[in-house]
Amino acid sequence: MEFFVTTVTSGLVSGAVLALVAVGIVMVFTATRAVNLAHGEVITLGMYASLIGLTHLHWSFWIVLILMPFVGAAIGLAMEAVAFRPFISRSGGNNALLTIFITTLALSLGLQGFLTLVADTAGTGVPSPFAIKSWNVGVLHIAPYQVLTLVVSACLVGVMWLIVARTQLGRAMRAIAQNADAAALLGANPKLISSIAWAASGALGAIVGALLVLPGAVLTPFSGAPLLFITFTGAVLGGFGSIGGAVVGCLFLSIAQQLFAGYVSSEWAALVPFAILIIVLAIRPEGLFGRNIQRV
Amino acid sequence: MPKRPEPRATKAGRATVIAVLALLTSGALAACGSDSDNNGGTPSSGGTSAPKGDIVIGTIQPLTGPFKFYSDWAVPAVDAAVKKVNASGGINGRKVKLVEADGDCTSGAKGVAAAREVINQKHAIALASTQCGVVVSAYNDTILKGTKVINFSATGSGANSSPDATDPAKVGYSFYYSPNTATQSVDLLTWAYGDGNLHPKKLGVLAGTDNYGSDALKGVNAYVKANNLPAPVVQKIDQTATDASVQVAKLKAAGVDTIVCGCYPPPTTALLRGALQSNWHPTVLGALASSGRAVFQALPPAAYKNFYGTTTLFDVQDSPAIQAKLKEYQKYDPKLTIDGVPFIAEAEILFEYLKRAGKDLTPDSLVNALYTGPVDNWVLGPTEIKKGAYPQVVSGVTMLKYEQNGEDVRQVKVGRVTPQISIPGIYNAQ
Amino acid sequence: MAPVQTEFTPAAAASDVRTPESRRLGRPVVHVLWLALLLPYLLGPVPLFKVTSVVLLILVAIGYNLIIGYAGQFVVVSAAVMGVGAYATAFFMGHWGLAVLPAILLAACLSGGLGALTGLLTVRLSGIYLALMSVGLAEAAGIVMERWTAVTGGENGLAVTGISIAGQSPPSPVAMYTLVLVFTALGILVSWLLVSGQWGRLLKAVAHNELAARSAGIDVEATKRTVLVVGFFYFGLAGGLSAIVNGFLAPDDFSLTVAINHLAMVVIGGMGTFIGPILGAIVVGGIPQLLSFSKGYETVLFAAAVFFVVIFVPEGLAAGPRRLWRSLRRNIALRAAAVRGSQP
Repeated sequence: MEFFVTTVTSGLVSGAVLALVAVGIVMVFTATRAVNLAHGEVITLGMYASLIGLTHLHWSFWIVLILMPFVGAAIGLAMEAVAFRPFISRSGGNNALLTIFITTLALSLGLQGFLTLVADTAGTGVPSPFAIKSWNVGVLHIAPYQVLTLVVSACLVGVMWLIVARTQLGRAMRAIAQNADAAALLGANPKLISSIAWAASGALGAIVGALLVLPGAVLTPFSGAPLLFITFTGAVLGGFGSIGGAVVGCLFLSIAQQLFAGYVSSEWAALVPFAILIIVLAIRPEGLFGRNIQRV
Repeated sequence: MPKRPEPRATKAGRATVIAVLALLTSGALAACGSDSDNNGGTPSSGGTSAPKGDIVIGTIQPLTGPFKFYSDWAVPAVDAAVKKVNASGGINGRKVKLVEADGDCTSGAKGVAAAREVINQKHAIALASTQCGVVVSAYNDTILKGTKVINFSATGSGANSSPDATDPAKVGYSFYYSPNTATQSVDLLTWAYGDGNLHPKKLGVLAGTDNYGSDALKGVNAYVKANNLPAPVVQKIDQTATDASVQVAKLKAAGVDTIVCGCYPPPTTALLRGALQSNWHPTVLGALASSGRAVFQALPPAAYKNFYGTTTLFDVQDSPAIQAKLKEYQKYDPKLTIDGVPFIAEAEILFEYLKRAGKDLTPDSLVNALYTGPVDNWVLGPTEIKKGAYPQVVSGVTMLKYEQNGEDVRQVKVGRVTPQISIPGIYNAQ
Repeated sequence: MAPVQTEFTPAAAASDVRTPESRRLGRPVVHVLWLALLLPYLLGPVPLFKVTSVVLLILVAIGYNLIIGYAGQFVVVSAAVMGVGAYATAFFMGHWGLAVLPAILLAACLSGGLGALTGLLTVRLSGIYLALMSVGLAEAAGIVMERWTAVTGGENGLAVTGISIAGQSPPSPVAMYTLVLVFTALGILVSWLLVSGQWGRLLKAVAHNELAARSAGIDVEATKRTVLVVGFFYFGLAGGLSAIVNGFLAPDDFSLTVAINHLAMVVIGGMGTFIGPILGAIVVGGIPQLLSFSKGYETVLFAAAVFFVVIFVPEGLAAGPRRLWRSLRRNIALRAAAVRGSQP
């Protein structure tokens, strides 16, 4: 039982981080129909920013965490200006996806290349700002950093969901997602909404970077990128475009992967997300919770 | 009759012509700018076309890509060694010229292209090169095999386990100046059960899911079999993983007290953190690539209190002897760092064999020189290439512990070990 | 005159299908052919190898052009399928003792078959779902290449043995170049035959508006599956040739990153056009060779180059130099105006 709880906890914590990443991606997609392939680099930059704050400037983690959204928002807006804004005036239909795919991809490569030149590819270590220990409550063993990760993630996901589902801004976003022209006619400002979405996505990405550094980590210019695949998989499983679906999808994948590693085989655990993706999409092309509105 | 407007596709055709011309021009320039010979593409036997000129040595390193740090370490090291030997008159009166090429560790094809450039185009007669097994395998099996171009590599993998592996004339004259990963496992266990006095009672292995991990496991299994020990508890982990809670829980529950870690830095960090978090203090024996400065920067000292690392250097990085040598070589190339020091060895040992080949340097005299007895070297100590032995020339390591030193770590030497058993297909016991 | 392309719209190029391209392209193509035949005499063996690798990429670009450019199926599987073709070729030569030609062709057919199987999984998908599924399949293929060591030699790679072209063993660079050139020329010819006829129009109809195509009686699923078979055949062929040219196979050479580089070729060259993939392969394949002096700045420069093309020349290189120049000037003016604050 104890082992089960440990496994699920570990899956939950990783899944929480992935969920935050997914929410960032889905927000940009909802507001702009574009997929940001450079989101991994937002995370990497957030990690390096945390490194600078913690190790070079000797700030406390709380200060770094509070500053991250601002750093991230700036990065998000910069990415929008470089890889998105110049291309939307000529986009339409299927080709928006392809064009932005290529530009965000080029941006991702460019950022990785740049970081390779200025940072050590052998890795830079960041120590954990908190003690590494375990809080034991019966069969549950959880570290303080894991609790913090869960709390931050849950709060942010909750806030984002509330914004999208319950506020005027969120309604405008969803309206644009369904039909950009009609929404504009009705008074929504697509450019403003787009900027807000990119900024929010950037903020979330940078916070993820801080959370990844929290337990103590080895950073390389390629730290953020691998998260994208499993995040996209989670978002697609949940029906791409839905925040709730993305969160559920990511948690599901992460816990499933850890359970597989624990009870079946640690060797093949990395393949679990692929297998689930292929099987689910083969049977149900719109994902587990998606509806057939994929005019992407 | 009015002139018909020129069809669009003819312009496209012209664009093609222009693009091809551009490529041709650059290709022609590239060809003119180098010493190319037009007599077919069979790998040349090297620099025999210029017996009185410079001795051309090649180095193939990952100048780009995620493993770029290896070249940041190794290129200044080889460069410094070349400059130093030239400063004292060269080898048998001839200067050494170093040519570099990019063998990105994430590509076998690039390794082949790099070797073609360095050997076929620039006529290198020997290589002091890369750390990545796949790149060495790539150019060894395609370009070096069947020739007498020799290659000294500081790689732990890429060893050939075919039946001809002990005959370089058949499989290529590549020699490895770093213990193979399997050999490293044997080293770690030999020390743990021997001079290290660790008295392991239950052995565990945390192996990466890639080649590195499976080689490490191979070594553990070879040692365990040769010493009639019970089979170890094995857990696998992805080499980019940052969380090892599941693996830690399983190893702990099985009662493991000593873990051989055949992983890269991220899983090693995860392992050490996970163990500390569960208030569990196993001994962790780390293979060569399992740790680096970054791992210890990321963890509190309590996490690596029972961690033993390895190096091929004969002493720790901060030892006065090594620091003095580092400063000496930095005069020749200021970009040299302490991490690059082990790579000086392959270059200098190569120079010694070149010297022994005599003034009349031919591929045959070079190959014969390889078997003229031991070569001493300040980095690795005496090494020897023996006829009929596997190409892994260096098999021993120095064992280290780590202590916090301000914001950095300090290495502490705890012993030196050479493996006492043979690993079929990889290494002969001394 | 065909309208100016302002985006990567496959359908917009439909109009150039009406006139037989062979007549219009005739003279320049003949010129290029002469140049291609002269190359072995102009270049030394090592640059010739580099050119051979670039020519090989044309086949990959054509495959992508058919699948994405004409049929609108966004997949990222080129490198993985090349891997299948390459390892299959090595297997047929090493284990079954086949000669080079039959091994490559058989491997290409195997890849085509794989395309049919993939089609079964992907016909109902589109957009991000399709793209992600293709990523998943490509990664799965990569893992098979790494772990099925009996056939692939695992991560440390596999040397291709027994290569002999026209009796030469090992073959000279000229022989390899000739082999690749012949296959590429045939590949270009076949693709031109396929797309300049009925089938090309069919593909574009399906890409442009699936619903309309269906109501016009087109079997959309069959069309999609067929284009995958053909495209995968091209990828497998390129893979088999690369096995011969490189002589060594490693799973990392067939990774997703490589596939994305391939994608850039088609995008920059101009999607949905006939000449686009050829230009794209030459330029994008050639850039890394030219940039090899830059030692580390390659990736950043490459990214910058892609950006440049997408911003200033979105229709790709296929539009022809005069239009490129006009487009460049117009786009610079537009950008300048936008920066100055006036409405674009």
